Amino acid sequence: MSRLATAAVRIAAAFLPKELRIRYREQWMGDLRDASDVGVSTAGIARGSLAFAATYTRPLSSWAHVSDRTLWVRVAVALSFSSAIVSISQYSIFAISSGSDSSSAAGLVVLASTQLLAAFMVLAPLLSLVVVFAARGTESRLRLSVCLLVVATVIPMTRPGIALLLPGGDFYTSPATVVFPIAIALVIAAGTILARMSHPFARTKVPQRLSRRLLTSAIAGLLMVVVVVAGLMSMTGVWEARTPLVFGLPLNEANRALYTQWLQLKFQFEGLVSTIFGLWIVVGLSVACLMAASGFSSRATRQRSTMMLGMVILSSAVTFGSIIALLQMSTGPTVSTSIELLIAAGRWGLVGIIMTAILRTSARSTAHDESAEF
Amino acid sequence: MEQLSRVTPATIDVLRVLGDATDPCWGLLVIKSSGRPAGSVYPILERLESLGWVTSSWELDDARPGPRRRYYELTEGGSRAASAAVERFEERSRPVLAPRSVTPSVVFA
Repeated sequence: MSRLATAAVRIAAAFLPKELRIRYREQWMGDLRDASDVGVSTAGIARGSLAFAATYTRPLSSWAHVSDRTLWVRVAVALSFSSAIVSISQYSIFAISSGSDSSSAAGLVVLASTQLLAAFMVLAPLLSLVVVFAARGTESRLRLSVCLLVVATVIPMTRPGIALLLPGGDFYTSPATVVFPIAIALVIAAGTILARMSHPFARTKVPQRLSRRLLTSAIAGLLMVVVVVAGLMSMTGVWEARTPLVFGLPLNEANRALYTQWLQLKFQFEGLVSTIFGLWIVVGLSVACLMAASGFSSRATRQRSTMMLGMVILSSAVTFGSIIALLQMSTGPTVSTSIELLIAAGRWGLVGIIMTAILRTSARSTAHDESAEF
Repeated sequence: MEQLSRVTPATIDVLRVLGDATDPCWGLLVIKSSGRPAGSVYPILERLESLGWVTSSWELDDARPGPRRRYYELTEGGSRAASAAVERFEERSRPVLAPRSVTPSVVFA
C-alpha cells in the first residue's frame, strides 16, 4: 500500500460529508490493503476515491436538514424576503450615490453588482411566487406573506415612473418617495406573519443563553450604527475633504456653489416629503430599536432572528436615508467609490446571510421538526 | 426503493456482477469482476445503495486486523429491478434489423 495512495484516500475521505467520511475511509483503506490479493492497482483505488469525492453531490435538502418540500417553501421565503430588502435598500443608495465612474475597475464592479442585483430583484420574486402557489398544501398565511414581500420588492422600482407622472418635485423631493415607507411597512407585516408561523421553519425553539442573546442584540445594534455612520461619513466626505476613510472627490467650488443654490430652492411638495421623512426618522428608529430589543427572545429560532435582523438593518438604512433626504443634501457625481463598494458588498452580504439563515436548520432539531411537519 | 434515473453500461456491468453473486460481494471484487475502473464503480455502488437497490455491510471476519472490507448485495426489490434493467439493456443493445447481406466484392473492394 503506497503512501501516496493512502494520502489520496485520506484526502478524498476528508472531502466527503461527515456521515460518509468514516465509512469510506475505512472501506478504501481496506481495499488498498487487499488490492494486491485480487490484482487491482492501488493507484486505481486512489484515483477512484478521488473521483468519487469530486463527483459526490449532496442534495441541497440534506445540507438544509429538511425535506425537499420544506426546502422549496423556504427558498421562496428567503428569495422574496431578501429581494424586498435589497429593493428597499435603494432608498438609502439613491441618497448617497449617483453612479460611479465605470472606466475604473471599482466602478465596473459597482456597475456589474447593480445590474446583477436588478436581475435578482426581478427573478427572485417571480420564482418565489411560482413555488408557493405551485406547492400544494401551502398555508394561505405563507402565500399572503410572500405576496406582500413581492409587492414590497416591486413598488420601490416604480418610484421613478411615478415621479415622472406626478407634477412638481424632482428625483429627491417627489411625493412618489412615499413608496418606500409603504414597502417597509409591507416587509414588517410579512416578517411578523412569517416569524409567528411554525412551518416552514423549525418547530423546536432553541433556547439561547443570555450571553448569546446579548451578543446578537449587540451585533444588531452595531449594524445600525455602522449603517448610519458610514452613510453620514460619505455625506460629510462630499462637503469636507478631510473626512477619514472616505476616498472620494469632494465638491469643487463651482459644484458647491451650484448645490448650495439648489438647496435653497423650494419645491412644490417639499413640505409633504419632509414630513414623511421626518416621521420615518422617528418611526424607523423606534422600530429598529424595538426589534433589536425584543426580536431576539430567549426562544427565537435562527430564521426568526434573521428576519428580525433584516428588518433592523432595513429600518436603520431607511432612517439614514430619511436623515439625508431631510437635510436635502445631494452628492451628485462626487460619490465616494469606497462607500459604493461597501454598499454593494453589504447588499450582497444581506442576500447571502438571509438566504443561508432561512434555508438552513441545525441538524440537532431536524428529527423533531420533520416528524412534526404537516 | 427508487428507480434509477440513468442506466449506463457500467451500471449494468455492476448489476450483473451483484446479480451473479450468491453471497454478499466485496466491493473490490465488484471492481475486478466488472472490469470497470474504481472511479466508476464506487459512485455506482453508492447510488444503488442510496436508491435501495443494494445494501452493504462490514465483513464479520475478526481474524483480519485493520480496516474492514465492505460487502454489497442486492436487496429483494433490487434483485428484481436489476434483472429487469439488465434485460431491458440487452434488448436495446440487440440490433433491430438483420444485417444486410453483403457480397464478397463489396467486402473486399
